Amino acid sequence: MSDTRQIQQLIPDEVFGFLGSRREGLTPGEVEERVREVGRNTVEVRDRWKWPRTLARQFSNFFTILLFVSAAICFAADRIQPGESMNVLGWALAGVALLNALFSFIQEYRAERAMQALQQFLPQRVQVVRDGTVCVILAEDLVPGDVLVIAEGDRIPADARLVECEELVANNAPLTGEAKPVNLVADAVKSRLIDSRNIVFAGCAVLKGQGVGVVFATGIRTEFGKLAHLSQVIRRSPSSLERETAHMVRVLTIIAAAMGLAFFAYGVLSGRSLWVNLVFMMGIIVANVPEGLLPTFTLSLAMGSLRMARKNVLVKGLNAVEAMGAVHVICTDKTGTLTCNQLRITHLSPMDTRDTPGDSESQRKLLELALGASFVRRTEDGFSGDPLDVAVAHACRERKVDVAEVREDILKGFAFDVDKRRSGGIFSRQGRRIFAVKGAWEALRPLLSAVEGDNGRTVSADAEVLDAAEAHMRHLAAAGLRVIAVAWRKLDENDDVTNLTRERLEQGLTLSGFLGIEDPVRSEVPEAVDTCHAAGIDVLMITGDHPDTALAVARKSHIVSEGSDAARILTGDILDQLTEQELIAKLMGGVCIFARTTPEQKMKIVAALQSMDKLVAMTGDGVNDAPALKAADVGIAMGRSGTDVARASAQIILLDDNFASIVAGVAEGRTVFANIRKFTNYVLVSNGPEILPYLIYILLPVPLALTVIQILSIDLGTDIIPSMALGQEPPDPEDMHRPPRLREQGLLTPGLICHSYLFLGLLEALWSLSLFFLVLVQGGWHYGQDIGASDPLYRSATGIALATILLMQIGNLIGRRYVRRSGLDRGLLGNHLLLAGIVIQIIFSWALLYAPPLQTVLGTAAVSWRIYALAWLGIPLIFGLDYLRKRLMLSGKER
Amino acid sequence: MGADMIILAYDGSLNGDWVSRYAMRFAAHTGSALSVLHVRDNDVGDAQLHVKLQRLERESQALGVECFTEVLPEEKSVYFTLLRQIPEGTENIVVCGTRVRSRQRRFLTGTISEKLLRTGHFPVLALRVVQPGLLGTPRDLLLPLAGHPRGFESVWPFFRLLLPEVDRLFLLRCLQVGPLRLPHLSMLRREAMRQAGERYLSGIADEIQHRRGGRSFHLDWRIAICDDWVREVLIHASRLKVRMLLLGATERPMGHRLLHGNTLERVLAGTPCDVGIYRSL
Repeated sequence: MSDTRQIQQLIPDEVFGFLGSRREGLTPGEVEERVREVGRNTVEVRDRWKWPRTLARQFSNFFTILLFVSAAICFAADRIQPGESMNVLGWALAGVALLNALFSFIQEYRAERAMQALQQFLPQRVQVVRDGTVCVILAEDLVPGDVLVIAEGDRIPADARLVECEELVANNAPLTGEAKPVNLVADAVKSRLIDSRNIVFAGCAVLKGQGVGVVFATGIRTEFGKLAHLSQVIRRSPSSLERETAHMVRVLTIIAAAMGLAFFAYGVLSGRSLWVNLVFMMGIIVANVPEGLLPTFTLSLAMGSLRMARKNVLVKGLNAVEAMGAVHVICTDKTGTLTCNQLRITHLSPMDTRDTPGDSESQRKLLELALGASFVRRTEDGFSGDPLDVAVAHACRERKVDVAEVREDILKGFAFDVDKRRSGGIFSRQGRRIFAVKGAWEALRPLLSAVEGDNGRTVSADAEVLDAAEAHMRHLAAAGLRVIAVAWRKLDENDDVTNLTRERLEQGLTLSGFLGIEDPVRSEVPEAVDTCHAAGIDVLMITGDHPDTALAVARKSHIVSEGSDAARILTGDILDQLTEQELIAKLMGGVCIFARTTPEQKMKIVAALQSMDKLVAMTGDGVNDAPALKAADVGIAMGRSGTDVARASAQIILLDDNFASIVAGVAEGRTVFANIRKFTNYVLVSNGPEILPYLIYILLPVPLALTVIQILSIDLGTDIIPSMALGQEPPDPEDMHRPPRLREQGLLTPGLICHSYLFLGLLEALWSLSLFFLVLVQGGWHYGQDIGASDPLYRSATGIALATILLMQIGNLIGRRYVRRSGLDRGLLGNHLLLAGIVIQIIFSWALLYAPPLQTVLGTAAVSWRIYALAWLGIPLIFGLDYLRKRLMLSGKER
Repeated sequence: MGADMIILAYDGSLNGDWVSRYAMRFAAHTGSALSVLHVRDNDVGDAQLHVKLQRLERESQALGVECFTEVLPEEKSVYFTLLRQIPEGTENIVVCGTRVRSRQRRFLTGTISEKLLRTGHFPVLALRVVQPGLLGTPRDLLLPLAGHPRGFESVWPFFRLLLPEVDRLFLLRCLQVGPLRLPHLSMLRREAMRQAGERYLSGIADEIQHRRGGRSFHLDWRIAICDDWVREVLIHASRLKVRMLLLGATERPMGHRLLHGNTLERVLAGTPCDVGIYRSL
């Protein structure tokens, strides 16, 4: 014999024994022992090192380390040879590193607020029986075996098995997502623990009644605790941009450090002084590292997030801006996101069809019965109550049924029961007492004994008649309608209404007809879905609705084509039975509608899609959507209908709950990534003319064409505004006609490196060095001659090298606007920052040569106007040659 | 291997009571006798112990299990006494509890259960019960597997104890890489690792299909590439809403334990469900 009963299957008296408790409650000693064994009743995963660890992680990336090492070298150099302002440089580098790290930390810290929102679902204090007396204790002190006293309005602090129950009704919305009241019982039930009606679950609210329960799970072991646990410990995998940035920084760092150390060693071996070698090594490192790039990334993403906010897409973490553009799949809810969430009865289908369609008596009767089984209140704005009941009231008013009169005649109501999937009410009509029920057809069919026929006749509900009614119902559902069946029966005048139970009433019912309810698809959704498909993004719909309704909405939304059949649908019960591999096979087979699903199943869908190497965006609004929102690559919460927990767990909040806004966000995300590529390309170009002078300096007996402070004036000065301007470039319409980029596709591709360093970078380097040596030679310098840093000739030569780079960056800037086109075809006036960037480059190139304060800081001096004019020639040179390359590439592709 | 007897090392504590429910059901499922051993160490009073043992016998009888209780005088230590009493070999399975010692938040380290697990004289299953409401009948199981070359063979003696009531079984293979390496793992490498995990788990799944006979339950598996397998196991336990984690205890050298800490302790401390730690011969 084997007894496999669980707590829900015990009779109330057994519960105490099995949990080591009694009706008088636990003793203080027992409580202490249990606290020691299972811990406190808290859903917070305490990790005192979490924030210090997060902060430390910001300082452990390659880029930050490199900047700090560079700063340290500067400070060391300043100690060895004071007076060169190397300490100022050191502070500047350390400042950049510190700001970057702190900014990232603050972002992460602000994003972690899910816990606060979850805590609101649990009470602070609870009433328990301990040692024979009822006392109020901190909810945190509850242990398994505690006897919990439950009353109307309470929040449940832990999972407890009911042993006493008086008309107890709870709202399990935090767990199920269904804001429907559940009638609870204290008797043993046979269902699974999670579905049991004799269990009160932590986080849920008591709507009515009172009871006593014995706690059997506390803290993260409760069903709510598991949600909370997941919401806290699931770490979203780094976005593709984060990974690509890290990869880029690593590559650049390795190049910089390797070059720096190799040439430092060469310098030492060739007999140069330690100081010269140190400065040289630092110069190489500083020249290789695009110091301004990461702050510009941040600024670009911040600007992208502002643009998204204007499109009703509120971004909580900056990386989500770009991640939106990279998604391969969008998993969306139906109600409120694809549809308007405004239920409307668009079809009345009485079984009595004696009247002509339109304003018929049988339709009015059908509505009256439905209203009798509804719960609505009249308010200043119209009606309030369950959306379905409100839709019934509106339909009644449209057909001149007196809502107030019917409501006044209601003698007793039976609220919607989630398990039974129906609601009911007793009301009097024309002197007769009627019991009316409305609900899902599957729930009403077994209760029917008759069906209304033409001319007021009723026919017996045999299998044939019921099958015909079901076929009619399916026909309505296939048209995208949510179908509600309405049935009734006449009551005996002598029946005492107050004593009539639901079980007694719900038998021998007569089917009156069906209500066809529609939640219209938002007008902008079909086009938005088409845009997704054109952009290579799959759209999956996840809904709790009937498969036929789901398929109809998917067709109207263009998620599937008109001819698509049920093969594209998977229902929750089948999904439950599938292994992950089987689910992947289904998804690859074209399943894109998930009907009759629960929010918990979203996690399974996300995991399967991620196993297919897809980047997934997932929408959600309920508390139990939180884990899926965190597990998805981009979690999108609903701003209007979403709970605080969902909003806290998501990276993106949709202010209007509209699917079309998600697509607008995707387009913006793609634009942001394209722009990041543009300015990365732009910034890396200037690395070429920064590195080459150092290589020539160490290999040949010539002066250094560019000092460290001059390099930093480019990287952290003049390049910033133009980079930001590229980050502001408007979307390219072609962006949404290309498939999403592959996960493997990095930011720093070999093509981009070659183009930046070996083509444009080399061009800038050659032209600037040519002018540098031209000035030197014209001033009387000859090859191999030493020249001091304070020599006016050297200062003029280095000044023109710097000015030439700045001016050539203008040509580079315009060319970077498009991959294939020139960059001038869109005009320069459309992007104000671009114009500002060009003006800054021009002014700075002039000022560093002719303005004494800047000359002092940068160690430059004036050159003749003729030489300065030659520097300007660099603009058409770099722009023209780059355009020629674009044309050649295009014609090569066309061939 | 068929268990001749389920031997419960019972300490008389509340946790011991909760663990005893498991032991009773194991015995009931396998048709074995239940031997309850208690070493008198003055932690529990005689009267209280007597009541508890009587209840244990009563509940066992109700399940149709033949139950023998024995209160042993302590020789040298509780562990030593138990060791002398428990016969060596694979015929019996020893069930014990992991419980927190006062003033320290460790569940296994330094306990008699840890010593029993390390002994290697008999198969041992140490249980931490955090959901007493399950009454020793977890129906949804998560089995994290570390790629043991013996495959499912080492788990089977313990899994069969739970087999009659399993509804859902999830296998989990965590492929751990360093935290610095994980973010930079290429998609190709990930795919290769995933496929290796897939091969291993599908082999285990075949073995389970073969061994489970006519018993049907939902069997699924997951592969996780992570930098912290403990965290991943706990996440999966919450995510899949399993009721029990069944983990193998492996002998790690001292150096490894010093470097990585005691990972089992982390599982035991942060678990959202009951945990069974097994060691077969």
